[in-house]
Amino acid sequence: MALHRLDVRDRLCPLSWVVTKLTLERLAPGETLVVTVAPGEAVELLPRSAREAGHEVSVAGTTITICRR
Amino acid sequence: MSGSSRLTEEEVERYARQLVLPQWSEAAQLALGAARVLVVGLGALGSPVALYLAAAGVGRIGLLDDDRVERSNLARQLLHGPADVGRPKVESAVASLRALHPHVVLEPHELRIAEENAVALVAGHDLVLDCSDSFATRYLLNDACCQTGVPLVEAGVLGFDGLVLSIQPGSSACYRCAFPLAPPPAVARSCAEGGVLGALAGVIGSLQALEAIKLLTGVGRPATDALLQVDGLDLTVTRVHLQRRADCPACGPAHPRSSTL
Repeated sequence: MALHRLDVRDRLCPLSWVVTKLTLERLAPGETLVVTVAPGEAVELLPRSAREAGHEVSVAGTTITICRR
Repeated sequence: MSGSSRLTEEEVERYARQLVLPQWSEAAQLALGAARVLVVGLGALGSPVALYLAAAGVGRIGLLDDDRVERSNLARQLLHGPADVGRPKVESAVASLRALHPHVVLEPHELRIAEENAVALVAGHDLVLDCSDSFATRYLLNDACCQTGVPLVEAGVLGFDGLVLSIQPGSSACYRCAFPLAPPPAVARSCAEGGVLGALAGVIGSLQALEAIKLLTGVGRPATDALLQVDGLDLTVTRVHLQRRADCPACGPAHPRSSTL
């Protein structure tokens, strides 16, 4: 499965999640998106939003790896 | 409106609070942007309807009214201000909506809907919102929408009471199914006679806009085959189930359209 990258360090919450969400919508189920976020609330909020949307999520510092459901 | 298969950066930022909704998607937003709706009546209901649809990102909005703004409109018709008194409502509506959202395509029609023009006016739209204040217009629009298959969100307010119903012609109950006969003129009161509170029109118009957005995007379940009655005085909401009538002269399968009241 293809690996996609997205940098949302210049986006404030909730725009960082909105951009991530729209990017995920364009991927096929099972594809992976690696998102780089700015330190701060996005580290907490973006993984939570992604999990609530049903995606598989892992976090390593400011790198959020999301497997599209 | 971008008209493309992707939202622009500006659109993503503008619509961020609805895009973040779990039920919402880029496809839903693009569907709104591609939609062409007709708002009939630019008064107490048409104001919140047009404002919320434009703000939400509906791409093309037809605005139909043949009235001019009067001072007595200002307490509830938020598209129009004191400087607009005497001006055609379509003109002040265009100015207000243009200020709110410069990219929405606005199609003003300064005329009254009638038997001769109803079908032609409705045709080509993805959805019609009846924000008029006359029973004759309600039946005309209902029949025109049934004939053309264009979905209709019907609403009305009088005093502290309001109602909303969504109509998918051919698959859900239409206005004539709910109200086969117009009330006699002696019983039917107008807003001028019966009065209306602007805040209630705001609630009902907002519900109407919400229903339109749901119908245009496929998000949620519109209130078809149902009549939502709102009592603003006690703040109670009653949902009445509706059924299509097999003998309905507007949408019944056994009957061709009849536009006579």
